[in-house]
Amino acid sequence: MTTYIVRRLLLFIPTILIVTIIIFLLMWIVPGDTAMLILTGNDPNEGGRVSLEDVERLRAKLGLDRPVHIQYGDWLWDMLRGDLGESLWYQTPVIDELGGRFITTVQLAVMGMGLAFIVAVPLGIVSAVKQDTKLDYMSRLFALLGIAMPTFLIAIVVTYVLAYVFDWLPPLDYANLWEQPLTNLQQMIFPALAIAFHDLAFTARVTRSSMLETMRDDYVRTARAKGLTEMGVIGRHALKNALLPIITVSGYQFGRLLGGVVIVEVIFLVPGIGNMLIDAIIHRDFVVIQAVVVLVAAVVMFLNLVIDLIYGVLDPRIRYQ
Amino acid sequence: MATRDITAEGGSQVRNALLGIPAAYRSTVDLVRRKPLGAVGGATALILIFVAIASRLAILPVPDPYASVGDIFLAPSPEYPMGTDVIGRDILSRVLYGTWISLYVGLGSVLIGITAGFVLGITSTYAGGFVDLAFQRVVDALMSIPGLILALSIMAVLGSSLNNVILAIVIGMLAPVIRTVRSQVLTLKEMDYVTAARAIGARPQRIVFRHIMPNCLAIYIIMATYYLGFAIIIEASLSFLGVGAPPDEPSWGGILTVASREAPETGIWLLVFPGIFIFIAVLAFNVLGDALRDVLDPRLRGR
Repeated sequence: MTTYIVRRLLLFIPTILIVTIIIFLLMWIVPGDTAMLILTGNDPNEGGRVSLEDVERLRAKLGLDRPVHIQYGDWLWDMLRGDLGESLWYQTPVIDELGGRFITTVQLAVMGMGLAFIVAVPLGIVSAVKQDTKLDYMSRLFALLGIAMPTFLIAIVVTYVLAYVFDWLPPLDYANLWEQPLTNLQQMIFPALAIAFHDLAFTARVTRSSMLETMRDDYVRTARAKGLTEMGVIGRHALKNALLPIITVSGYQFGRLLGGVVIVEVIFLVPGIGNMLIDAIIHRDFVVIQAVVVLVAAVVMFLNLVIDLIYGVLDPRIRYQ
Repeated sequence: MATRDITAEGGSQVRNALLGIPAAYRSTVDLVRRKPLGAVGGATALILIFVAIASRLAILPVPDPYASVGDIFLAPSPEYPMGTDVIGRDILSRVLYGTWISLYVGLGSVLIGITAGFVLGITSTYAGGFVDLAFQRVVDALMSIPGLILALSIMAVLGSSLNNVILAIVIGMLAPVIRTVRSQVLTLKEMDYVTAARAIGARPQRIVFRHIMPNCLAIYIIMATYYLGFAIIIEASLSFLGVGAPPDEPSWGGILTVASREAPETGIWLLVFPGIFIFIAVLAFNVLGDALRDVLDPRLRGR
């Protein structure tokens, strides 16, 4: 077990370093020059009014005149110390803004995933147990429709229905989870539902195939032979074993879910990191983009690491691969 | 029993697809008979491709999608079947032209992305050793950035244009494609016929081109179909957020940007038509992908 953990951790470190290199280089290859971009305010027609000295001064101030590997090293070192730099657009430290927004995004993602789970797992089980019946076809059709609906389309439809039928508009000011938990949950439930719908379809599919697989296993047949009721066989034997892959796959899907969260945040005006990212992209605020993407990637990787370790504990076969 | 039949048919269908029209006709009939839903998906996909080409060639009897032709926010009427938008452009012609944009971006990114993924995946697997180990860490790293977020950041760097959207989607899909190809190649490498080929002294190039690649054809077609749906969703999402297609291009996602703001006051038709087109296009390619997977790669059935 120790070897497994050590090996897994040793793979984690180079991978996260590669992530930072990729993101850094991506922002470094910006066509034109970041300093020029800031001075011209993103307007190509302004180019003539900027003096060369101003550009040089700003480049020196931002440290853009140094060799690229030094810039990367400094950036990485600052990040490790918790300094994510200063927003190019708002001129404020990125970290101040990021913390609170990050919690909001995680809350939204977890709520969405939880809601999806509550519906999808029973749906998948029914689908597997009643394989090839009308019920199975209907739940598979439902899953297929969910997969074909992009999250932003669902979110638009949900906001429209809420606005038109219930006269509910996305709040301009979201309540804090710790200060006004009830109001906060009321406000977050609709965006969470929009996220859940797409994820639900996916989880239901995984549940169905995982259940189908375990239902064919020997111990399920043994349980039946012992004379257990069908409910007992499904609940005590099949589901217990089927749940592990379902949770794992859902965990690995967390990254994809975060992609959907970004869009839902924009549509529902949720003050999370997704809204921050889009705002930064519109202003071409590369410092903020770098910080947000590194954070997201780190969270996804950390989650995958945790899943792998838990899986290693629960399923000894994995450790010896 | 049934499984064996399907394997044989699946193999012959891949070969048929390469041999020409009569064989293609036979396998089409076969698909319609065994997978009616998938065939409907395929037919829908063909119609969409036809609409895309026709609107690109401007041979459809609709007004110019870029020009204002009437009053703003008109409700659907015989003259403007889907109504008009915020500056009085005909939504029908914009939605039809949007098919071209979606499929251009979708097919472009899928052909480039999956092909590149195959080349990189096979090369890395065959290089083995440290190269493979290091390259897989890069793939791990790319995998940890969610596709949409990666595509968004790339668009922030490149600026909006259709070809940049293709590039962003290609990079966003590369890592999972390489992963899938790698696992497929690793399985194929252990197959008896590959061992046999190696035993008679075939060089690695011969094994790759004669034994590995033809057996990857099925998974290539399946992945291309699925990722087409993925690419359409990402393009629509990027354009919806205003960083995909340039603003006046009639992309489905872009049409929805304005629509989602105005619909509560002006009426739901602004949302309905582009929404339905995105939904149908993605659904068609997904259903077709499911059917192709069942027919071409029976090992994955029911997954």
